[in-house]
Amino acid sequence: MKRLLILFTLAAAGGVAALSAQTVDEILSKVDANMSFGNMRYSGKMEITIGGETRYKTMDAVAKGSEKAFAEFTNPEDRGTRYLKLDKDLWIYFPKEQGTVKISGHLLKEGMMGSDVSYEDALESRDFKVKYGATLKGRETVGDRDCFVVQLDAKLPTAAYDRRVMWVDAERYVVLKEEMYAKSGKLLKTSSTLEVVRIGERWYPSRTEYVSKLRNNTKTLLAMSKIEIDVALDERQFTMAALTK
Amino acid sequence: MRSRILSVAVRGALLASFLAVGAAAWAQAGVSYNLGGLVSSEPYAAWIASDFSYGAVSTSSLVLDARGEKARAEASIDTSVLTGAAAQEAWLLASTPYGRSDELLVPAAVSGAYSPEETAVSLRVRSLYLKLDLDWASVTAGRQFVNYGRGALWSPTDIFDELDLSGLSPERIGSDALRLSVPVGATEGLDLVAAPNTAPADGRYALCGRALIGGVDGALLAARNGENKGWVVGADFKADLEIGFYGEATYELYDSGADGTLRAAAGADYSFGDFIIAAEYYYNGGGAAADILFPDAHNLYGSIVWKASELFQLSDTTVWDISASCGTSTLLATLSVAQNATLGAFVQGGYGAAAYGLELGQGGSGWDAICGLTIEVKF
Repeated sequence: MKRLLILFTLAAAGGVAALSAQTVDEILSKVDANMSFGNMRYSGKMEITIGGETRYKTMDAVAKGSEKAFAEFTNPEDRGTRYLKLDKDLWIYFPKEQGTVKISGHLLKEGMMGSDVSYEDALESRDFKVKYGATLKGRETVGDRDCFVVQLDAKLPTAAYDRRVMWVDAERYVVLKEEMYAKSGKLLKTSSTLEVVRIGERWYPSRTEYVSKLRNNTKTLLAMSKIEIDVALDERQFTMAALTK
Repeated sequence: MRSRILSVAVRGALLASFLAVGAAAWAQAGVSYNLGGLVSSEPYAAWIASDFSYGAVSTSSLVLDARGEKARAEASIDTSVLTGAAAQEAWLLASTPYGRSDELLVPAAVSGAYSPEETAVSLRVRSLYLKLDLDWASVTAGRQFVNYGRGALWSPTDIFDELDLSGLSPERIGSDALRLSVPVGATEGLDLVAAPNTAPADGRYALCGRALIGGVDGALLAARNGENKGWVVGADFKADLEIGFYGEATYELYDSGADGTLRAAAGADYSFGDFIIAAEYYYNGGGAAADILFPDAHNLYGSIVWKASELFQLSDTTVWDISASCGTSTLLATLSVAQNATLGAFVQGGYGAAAYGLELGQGGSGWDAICGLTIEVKF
C-alpha cells in the first residue's frame, strides 16, 4: 500500500511502528527504511487494462515526505492535469478551464484517472501505527521469494481498509503482494510488485500491478522511472500557485 | 474625448504589460514547447420549432504551450467548419446578445449543396496569454480564464468569464485581462484582476482573497462592474462532509442608487457505486441585466453520471428554469474506442422558450430535440 501512495506521490510510505509484536515491528521498520524518504522525484506510467483494452497515462511527480505531493499528467488525453496533495486535502487542476477543484470525500473512493487506485488510497498517509494494529501471520513464498505475512487491522474508522495483508520479502524487505479487505471481509483490492530496483542502499518497487476486485476484468500497472530520492525540492512546488502555474 | 484618451491609455498599458511579460518570458533559457489539441466531428439531426434539419460541426483545437522556469505562454485556438443547421444556428446566435464573444464567424466556401447561410467557419481564440512567475507573485496578461467561484454551472462571483451554453456541456469563455496573483501561503492568496472594456470605466476589476480554513476552501471578493455601474461584494466556499457542499453569493450596489441585487448559487455532489450525482440551485435577483443567459429568479441544474466502466459512461445533464418552466436535458454516452479517441452519442431535448441551450433565440415553445454523434481524437 505504501508503494501505492508513493507511486501517486501522495504519501511517502512511512514508518509502521508501535505494533504489538516486536518481530512485526522489526519487519515493518525495515520495510520503512526501504520505502520512506524525505523528498522524491520520478516519472510514472500507468497502464490501465479493461477487458482487452489498455489505456496509457504518463506523469511527472514530486513528493515531500508523506504529507505533500504534486503530479502533472503528460499524456495527450490528460496533458496538463495536475494534482496537489497537502496533508489530507487534494486538489485537481484542469488546464482547459484553468480551474481548480477540491476533491470531495465521497469522490475519494473513485478510481484516480480511471485507474484501479482510488483517491483515498493515494491520500492515506503514513499513520499506519495510529490506524492499524499489526500481526505476524507466518511465512509464505511469493514467486521464488520467501516472505513474511503481516496482517494490519484497522483501529480507527478513518482507515481506508478494515484489514490488509502484506507479503514482505524476507531478504529485501519490500512488500511483494498486498490484499485489502472491507469490514464485511470482502476482498476489495490487491497489489503485486513485479519489479524491484536497487537505489543506493535501499530496495524499491518500480513496477506494481493493482487490481480492484470491485470492477470486472480490470488492472492497473504502475511503472516508475527516473526515480530520485532525497533530492532538493522547492517548497513552493507544493502550493496552489504551483498548481495553477 | 477624455474617456477615449483614457481608453487608449489603459489599452496601451495592457499591451505594454503583455509585451513586458512576453519579453521576460522569451528571454529566459530552457524553454520547452508542447503542441497538443484535438480533432472532433459532431454530426446531428434536429427537430426544432416543428422543422427537421441536419447539421455538422468539425473542429480542430490547437494548444501551444511554452514553458520556462519563470514564465509560460499559451495559445489555444479552435477552428470549426459548420454546415447545415449548425451554421444556421451559429449565424442566428451571432446576431443576438447571446453570441460568443470569443468567436469570429465567416462564411465558408459555398458549394452547390449549401446556401451561404448554411455554411460557416468559426475561429475562436480560447486563450492567449503570457504568465510571468516572480518570486512573490505571478502576472498574467492576455486572454485567460479567471474562473472564480465553485459552481458546476453558475458562479455569480465570476464576474469575468461568460458562459457558453451552445455546446453539449457548458463552457466558460476567456476574458482579456491583466492578473496579479500574490500567494500568501500554500493555500492562501490574493488576486487582482483588471479587464478594461473599450472605455475603462465600463471594465471589470476585482480583488479576491482565498484561503483554506479548517478544510473549507473559501474566498472573498470585492469588485467593480463598470458595465453595470455597480460595486460587487461576494464570497464562496466548498466544504466536505462526505457529501461535497459548495455555495457562493454576490451583492451588487449601483451608482444610480437603485436597489441592489443578490445572486447566489448553492450545490452538492455525491457518489455511490458507479454513480456520481450533482445538483445546483441558482438565484438571480437582478434579472437580465445581471445575467442575460438566466434572467429568471429560480433555476436548477442536475447531473448524473454512470461510469459503467472506465471506457464507457452515460451521463444526463438537466438545466431547468423554474420561473419560466423551461429547460434542456442532455443524455450523452461516451466510449473510449482507442487510446486518445472517444466516440459519443447524444440526445438533447428542450422544452419551452428557454433562453439558453438549443432553444437559444428560437423563442418557441413545446418540445424540441437534437440527436447526434461525437467523434474526438486528442493528440
